[in-house]
Amino acid sequence: MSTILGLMKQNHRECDELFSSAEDAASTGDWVKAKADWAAFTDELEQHITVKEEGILFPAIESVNGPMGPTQMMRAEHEQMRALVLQIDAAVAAQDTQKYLGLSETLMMLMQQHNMKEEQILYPMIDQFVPNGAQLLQETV
Amino acid sequence: MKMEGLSFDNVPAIHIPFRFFNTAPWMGLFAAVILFFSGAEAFDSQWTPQLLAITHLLTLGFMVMVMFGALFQLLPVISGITIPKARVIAPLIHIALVLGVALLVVGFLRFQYHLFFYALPLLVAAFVFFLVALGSRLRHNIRGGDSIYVIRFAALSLMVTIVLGVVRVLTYLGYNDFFVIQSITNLHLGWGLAGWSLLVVMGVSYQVIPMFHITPCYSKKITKTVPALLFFCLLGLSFIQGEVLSKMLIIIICLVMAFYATYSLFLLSKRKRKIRDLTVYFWRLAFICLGGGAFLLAINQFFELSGRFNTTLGVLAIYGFFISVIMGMLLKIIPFLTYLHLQRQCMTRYELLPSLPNMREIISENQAVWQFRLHVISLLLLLFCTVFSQAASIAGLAMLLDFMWLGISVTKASKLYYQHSRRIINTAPVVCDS
Repeated sequence: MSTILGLMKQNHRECDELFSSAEDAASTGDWVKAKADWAAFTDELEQHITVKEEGILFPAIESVNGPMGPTQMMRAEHEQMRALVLQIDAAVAAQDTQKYLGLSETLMMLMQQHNMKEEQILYPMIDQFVPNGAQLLQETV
Repeated sequence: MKMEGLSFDNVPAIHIPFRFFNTAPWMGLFAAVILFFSGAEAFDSQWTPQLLAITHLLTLGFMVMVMFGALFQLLPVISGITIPKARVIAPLIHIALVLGVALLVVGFLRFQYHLFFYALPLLVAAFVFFLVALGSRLRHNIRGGDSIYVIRFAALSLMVTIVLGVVRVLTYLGYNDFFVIQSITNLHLGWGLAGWSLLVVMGVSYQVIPMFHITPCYSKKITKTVPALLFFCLLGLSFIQGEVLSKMLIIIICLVMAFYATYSLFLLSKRKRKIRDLTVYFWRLAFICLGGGAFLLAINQFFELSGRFNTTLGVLAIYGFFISVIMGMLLKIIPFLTYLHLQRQCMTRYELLPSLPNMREIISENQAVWQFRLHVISLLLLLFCTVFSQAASIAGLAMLLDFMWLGISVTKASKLYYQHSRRIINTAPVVCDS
């Protein structure tokens, strides 16, 4: 049976791969590919954090447990990621490799420590308190 | 799952890890100065006072210093639970460690072993405080997966290392009637390096290599088996007297280390994040040294290699493996923590975020490239010295540049943090300080 942890962890890995592909293209100056891959990554990221997490999973666990510190913290970190994404959008538009790589390294670290907290703590918690969470996620998305 | 005490807003204050990170490179630099001035004499045997002073500056002053800072930082993030009273305990541990190492080193160099009498309680206090703070959390059923599993073994190994170190110091202080010095020293080395240090590196690598470099994950079976095998082989070595059995256990340890090194290199070769990353270069160098060291140690069980062999092994393990890993990690952790803490100060002022320096503006790629070059040159010269000790002063000079470069990078990052932090405070009407 699918779990939130399994589904969302897999989605993290998919985001990582799109991210790496865009970063690789930007580092070699292939801006056509970089632009396309970056767009694919940001689409997937928005789907992940806006639709799946903020739209479905966070409200689901908050409806069981009430407002929680961890979900608030995750929302704040999503905002921080969005701010970096906007900065990278500008670097892509300006085709500025150095800026792109500096910002992408920063976003990478920020995303990974965020993902780690979700995978180690938050998703298992949602699996525990929202037993039909995975089904809800698969039906809605 | 227990919900109480769980908070995601548990990034420790920046001064906690940074005080350790800012001290460590200068400890390494002192080791380099000692090597520079003592020259070839230092390599006469592995027991020269200079080499003992250098070894302890590198292991306690550099390695343990960074590991303490990193664990204070890492544990709350991966386990979701804060180390109690870290703000008070961390500075105390830091001071005790600095003073303890200084007294130990002066004691070795000047043959003033009575200084160990003062060094001992300071070092023991630093370790005990750390272990109590850490242990109070590790005893519980906390999250954190494979890393926490390994860090438990590491913490136990650290305890054994400390006890053996204390026994060893007591022999210097004249209480040597009951102890077999040579075997205690070897066990102290074994538990300290192959136990505590290697296990901490393993725990960290399981987490960060797949995460930062997008490699396949370490297999669950391996993450469970390898640390346990290492730990129990060391335990066996501590109690078994027979030569053949001891040699067999050492060979198993060598095989485990070589396997871990090869497997990690294999995972790194599969990385999906292909851009040039100096931390990957440091990991690769480290694993090559670990594999090489394991090979040499295994060979020595069959053919007795020359006396200098132990020094070569020490250089490969300490400078080639541990210090390489630590330098590679610092190149990532320091810019990230600087950015993370500045970013958190902007929580109420999102418009200030674009004005923050990104990670490569905190430690540039060029700085990282030079760090790697200086480190490889020093490592090669140090290895050369273990055969031709005449080059010791040159190796000392290279080492000095290696640690100085690191020290400057850390200092610059810290200065940049405080500059931007002040700027944010001066411009933001409401500040959420982390």
